[in-house]
Amino acid sequence: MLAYGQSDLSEVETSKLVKTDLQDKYYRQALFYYFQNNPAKALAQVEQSKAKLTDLDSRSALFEAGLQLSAGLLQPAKQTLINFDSLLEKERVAAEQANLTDDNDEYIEKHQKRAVKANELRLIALLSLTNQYLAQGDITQAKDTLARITSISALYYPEYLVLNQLAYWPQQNHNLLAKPEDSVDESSPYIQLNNALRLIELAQADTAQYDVAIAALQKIKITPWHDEESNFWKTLFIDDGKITSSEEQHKIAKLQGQAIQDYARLLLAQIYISQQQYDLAFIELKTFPSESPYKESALFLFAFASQQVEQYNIAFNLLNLLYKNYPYSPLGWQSAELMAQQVSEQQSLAQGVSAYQTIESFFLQRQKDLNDFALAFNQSDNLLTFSMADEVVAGEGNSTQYLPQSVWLQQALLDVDLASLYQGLTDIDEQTARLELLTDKTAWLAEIIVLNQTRKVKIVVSKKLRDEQGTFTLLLNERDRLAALLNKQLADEEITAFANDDERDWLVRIENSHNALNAIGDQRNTEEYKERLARVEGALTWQLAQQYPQRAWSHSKQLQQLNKAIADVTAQQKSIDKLSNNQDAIELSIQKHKKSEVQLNSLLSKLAQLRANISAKIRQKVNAYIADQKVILADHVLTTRQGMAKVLERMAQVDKRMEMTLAPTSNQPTTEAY
Amino acid sequence: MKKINGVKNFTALISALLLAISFSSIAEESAMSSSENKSNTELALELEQLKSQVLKLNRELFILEEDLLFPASTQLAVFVSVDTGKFFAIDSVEVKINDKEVAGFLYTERQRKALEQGGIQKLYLGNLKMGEYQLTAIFTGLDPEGRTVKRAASYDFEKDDEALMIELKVVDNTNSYRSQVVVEEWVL
Repeated sequence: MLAYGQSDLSEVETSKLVKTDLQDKYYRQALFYYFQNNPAKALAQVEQSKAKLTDLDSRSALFEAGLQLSAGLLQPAKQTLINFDSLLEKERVAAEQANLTDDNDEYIEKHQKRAVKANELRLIALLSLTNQYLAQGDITQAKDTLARITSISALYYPEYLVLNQLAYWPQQNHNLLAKPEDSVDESSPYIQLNNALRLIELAQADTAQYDVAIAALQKIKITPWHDEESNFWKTLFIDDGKITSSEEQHKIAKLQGQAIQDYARLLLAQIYISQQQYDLAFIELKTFPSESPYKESALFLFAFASQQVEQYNIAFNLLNLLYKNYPYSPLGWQSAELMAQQVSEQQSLAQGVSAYQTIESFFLQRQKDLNDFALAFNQSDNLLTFSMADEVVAGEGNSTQYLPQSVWLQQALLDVDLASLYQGLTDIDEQTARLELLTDKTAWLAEIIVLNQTRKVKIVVSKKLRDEQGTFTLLLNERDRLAALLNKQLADEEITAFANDDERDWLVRIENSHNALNAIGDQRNTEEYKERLARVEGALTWQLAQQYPQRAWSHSKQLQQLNKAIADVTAQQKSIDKLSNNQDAIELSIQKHKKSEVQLNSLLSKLAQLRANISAKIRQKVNAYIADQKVILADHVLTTRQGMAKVLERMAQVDKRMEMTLAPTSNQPTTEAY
Repeated sequence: MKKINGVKNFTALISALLLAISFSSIAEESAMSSSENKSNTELALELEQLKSQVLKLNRELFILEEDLLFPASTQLAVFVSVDTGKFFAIDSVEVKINDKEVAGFLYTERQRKALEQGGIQKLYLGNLKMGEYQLTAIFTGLDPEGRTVKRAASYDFEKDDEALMIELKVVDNTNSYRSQVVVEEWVL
């Protein structure tokens, strides 16, 4: 039913009744939250819709899968996608039946459009799911999901190829789907980079592959890369449900393009260094952007190449910069050693010793830092509050991310598994917070149930009282009596039936007069009285006859109104009967409530257990990382001391030579100065 | 100037470091020990299952709450949707039933855009006894020139013992270059 309104509130129209497409309405309710960047609430809305509608249509199911992916619910999403074909088939059959039995063109067209689009959407979803499995390091599931893709369009082929490369690395997928005829030659930079990486690996055995890799990387580094435009579904599945403005998207695309080029340059430099073409590596890295995400690695390579092409000043400055700017990085540590070595070889032995001493104290300080970190970390009760950064960015409805202040932990979190475990811990806390809210809700619902029970008891008592008094039955009987009387009077067309009180008085008086005249009989002359009485009676009869139709209609109307009032009361009575007899509904609510309480407690306990398990796993991994770093640092301390010892040894040799030179019998010259 | 000595196997170290960067890192995960990976996967799976259960419980409690607070026999829900918002940028809405204000909402930019992109907002959920009622909705917003305008609609309806859903749609009329409010009662 539709009504149109304007500012004057006057225009109202109605149209024929068509059953509302509730699937669409519920889907759009979820969209309202999704477009506010609140995928968690959108997913809750979809779940509620699913409970009300029993089943979701293909579009809503796909939307649900996308939201599940962004919430990290990979298995349910995969299940939805696996069942998607049967859902589509069901809709196709329904649309065909509608075509046969119904002329609702809009309905058929809608279903046809959905079916056409559905396969593409499923493909996007499967690609995204693979991506998520790869991000989690679950290669088996990633391969299994890729195997579910049975056809691929040219538009998505590059992405499909990259995911296959990653899932099957370093091998290749032998069951790869054929490239669509209309697809562009492997234009994706990621495919080309992965190909170059594979060539570099092959070059370990066959150095000729380096030339091919160099040619490929030269091409990548000069090609400007543009991010392709995302539609709604690609945004939902591939961008983790994050809604970003076009400006932000443009900025991200620009950064990605630059990062691809930078990475290609870095790989090129690495190849040149491995081929001992240090001059080419030096030239390649000389103009490397300072804001690149790969600047640390590039700086190190550049410093090394500079040393090799005898650009010692550049090398010294870079190594100095590296170890000071990246004091917790293995590259920084390597740089420190290289720097001390360069000083002792390029400058003087005394300066070399001094540099080594500085570096030694630098490493000792790092060891102390690491020990302090290890102690604090192992003493922390809650891993998520340990070394927490001041600002944690999290959007409404989006999952938060743990950002530690500790550089050691930041470095450790570069490990995908550890990062994933920390994310798991954050998710558990979020779920626990949700459950606590639900606990409050169950307490509130318990109060509502008690109120409903009290209300119901009152209704039942009141109903029982009314039933005992028989008020409603008496009313019904009276109505039936009046209706019967009215019907009879209407059938007899008795004009005096609807006389008012005055008229009834007059009728009584006339009747009395008739009786009086009959009693007098012939004893007196009553002709004049009889005539007058007849006139009065005639006038009254005429008046009653005139009023009869109007009064009959009025009484019928009153009876109708009474009938309606009784019908309303009957409906209300039925509703009360339903409510008072509906013990099952309240019992069901109580059961559901009790079940929810049990589930809540069980879930809270399971989450606490899982949190403990994950925390233990994190501690194990971080301690393994700490142990590794300790070994590396101890190694650096050792090599630094060995380097220093060598320099001191050379100094001793120089001293000895000088002693011999200064001795009157010796004429040997010194070749090395302090 | 002397050439640096003693950096043996340095190139190999650099290669190892570089290959560990970014793109290949995912691929290298496959080389990790299977037992460690399996354990992590198991934990992830367990967490995923618990998340699903929390979601399911949330859904069940929502339905229980709705059944208890807004039973179908008395339930009235009012929704708001916007066509494209080309001629009317929605700013607020006020809804009255029989001249009594039951719901009001001030929209943020993001909420407005969510509506313009096809979202439907559940504005009000309440209870009404059986009978005849009049709903009045007054929308305030900006026209394309930035002037504040109001659009309103009134709708007479009868509440029976079934749930009643009413959608207030702000629809653009390309003929009159203005928007209008269309009231749709959902046929369940």
